[in-house]
Amino acid sequence: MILFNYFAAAALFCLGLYAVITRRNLIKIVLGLSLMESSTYLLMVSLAYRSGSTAPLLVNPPKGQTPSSLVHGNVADPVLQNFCLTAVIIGVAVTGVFLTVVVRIAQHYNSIDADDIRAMRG
Amino acid sequence: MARADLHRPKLGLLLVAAVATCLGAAVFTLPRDGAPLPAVARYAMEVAIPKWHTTEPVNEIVYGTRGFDTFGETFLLLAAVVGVVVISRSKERRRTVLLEDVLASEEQLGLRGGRARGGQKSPESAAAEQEERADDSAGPPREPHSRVGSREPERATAMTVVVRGGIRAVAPVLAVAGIYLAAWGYSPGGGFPAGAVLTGVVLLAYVAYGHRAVSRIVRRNTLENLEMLGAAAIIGLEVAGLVLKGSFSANVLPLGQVQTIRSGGLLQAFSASELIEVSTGLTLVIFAFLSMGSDWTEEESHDDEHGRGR
Amino acid sequence: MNLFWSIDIACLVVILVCAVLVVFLENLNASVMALSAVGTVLSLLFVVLHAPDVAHSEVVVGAIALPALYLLAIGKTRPHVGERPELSEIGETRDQGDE
Repeated sequence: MILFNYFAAAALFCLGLYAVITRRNLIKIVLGLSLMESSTYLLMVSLAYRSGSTAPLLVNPPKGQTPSSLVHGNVADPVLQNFCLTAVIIGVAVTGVFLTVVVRIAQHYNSIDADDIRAMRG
Repeated sequence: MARADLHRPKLGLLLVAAVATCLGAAVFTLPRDGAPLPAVARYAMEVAIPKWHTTEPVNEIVYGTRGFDTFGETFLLLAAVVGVVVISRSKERRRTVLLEDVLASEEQLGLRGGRARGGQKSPESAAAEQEERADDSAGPPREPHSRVGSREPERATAMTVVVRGGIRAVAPVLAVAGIYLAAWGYSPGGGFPAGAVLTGVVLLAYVAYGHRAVSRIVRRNTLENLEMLGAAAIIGLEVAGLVLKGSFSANVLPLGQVQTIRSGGLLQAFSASELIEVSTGLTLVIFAFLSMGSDWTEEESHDDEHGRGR
Repeated sequence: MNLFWSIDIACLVVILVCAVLVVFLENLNASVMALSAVGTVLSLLFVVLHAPDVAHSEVVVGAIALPALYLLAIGKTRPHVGERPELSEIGETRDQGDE
């Protein structure tokens, strides 16, 4: 059943890749990159999931469980969630860099069409 | 569309299909949701309460056990913010020194004199260059600048009083919710989401009150100083662990009571400075982006490039 | 197929549909909104998959930060690139443009 998550993450990645490869509009390419980032978040959290588990919190454990029993109990994987937590925020800053470059290209070349930019090199 | 909007879609589709089959094959080898928890995760769960007095293993991993990884990510965020600020900066107004033009002219004369004596530019090439520059500027006249968007940096005006009233009521609540996310270290949250929430609140205020009102509060250099302060705090915390306890992000601060704000010692301090980092960083990214004029390219290449750009 | 898996599959379907929209929509503003939908539903999925921390930051990023950046970028490129169909807002009639 978790395979659906993995396949969805792979499909999301391929959609983003298709957008990056075939689109001409630079902003559409950055959108494709954002899609690929989202697919990595989906894959990581899906990998962290354990069936029939609860969140890796010891704050107020579900009924019938004490924090100490939860430590050895069935919980989702906190380490993978840690990777995702920081990656989401860094993704915003990096997308900011991409978009700033795109706007500067638009200002300089008066066009955000990838083929125009390539045609003007040299 | 004048030209096909896609760029070699057939080849792209083929490439993506190849990647899709590889990913599909790889997916079957991934551990399913029945797999036991890896050792490092189990260690993090076990060590959360005894060693760090916190009931939130994810925060304990982000800021404690794997503090070095977050340390690197924070400076990655700083690098991205500096990148955006540098690229979107407008040209500084040059402060001319006294008598600068006089001094410069002699220097130019000497230089041009030197070039005139040495590499004599042949008159034909100079004339050809002159003629080429002339017909370029005679190209299609610059299309009257469309009202669609202004070239100057964004100067949003304030919204109607209804929106301002609503935002005035909601923004403080959201700000407190954001800080609550980071303050309650023992429940899900922490510096990263809290910083993003604070950036959202600043954006909300910007949209409602317009640029003038917000630019008094969100001054760029105070944000940059605050961010450097946060980064210095993080370095101090981590190196203190190295110096005092011998390992990089070892806990040097007193561990508070388990479910209180101060529980977790170093975790809370790292999370608080991370809150400063992320909120100032993302706000800087967005405000640098907003105030990006187009004065970099105004003179030299704008007009002659224009003919080819269209 | 208990409740958990039905929500999980529903979220995945919505995310994939929105992702297809992001890639194949002509208008840029619309595809940015589709990307925001992907981010927000992804955050809902994270809550279901027992990852509250990641859901916190993903909902803020997906709903506020990313769309703001993209819409700003579109707004900033429009005056320099002039009238392009994908850059105009939906429903922006011809006469609003500079004739």
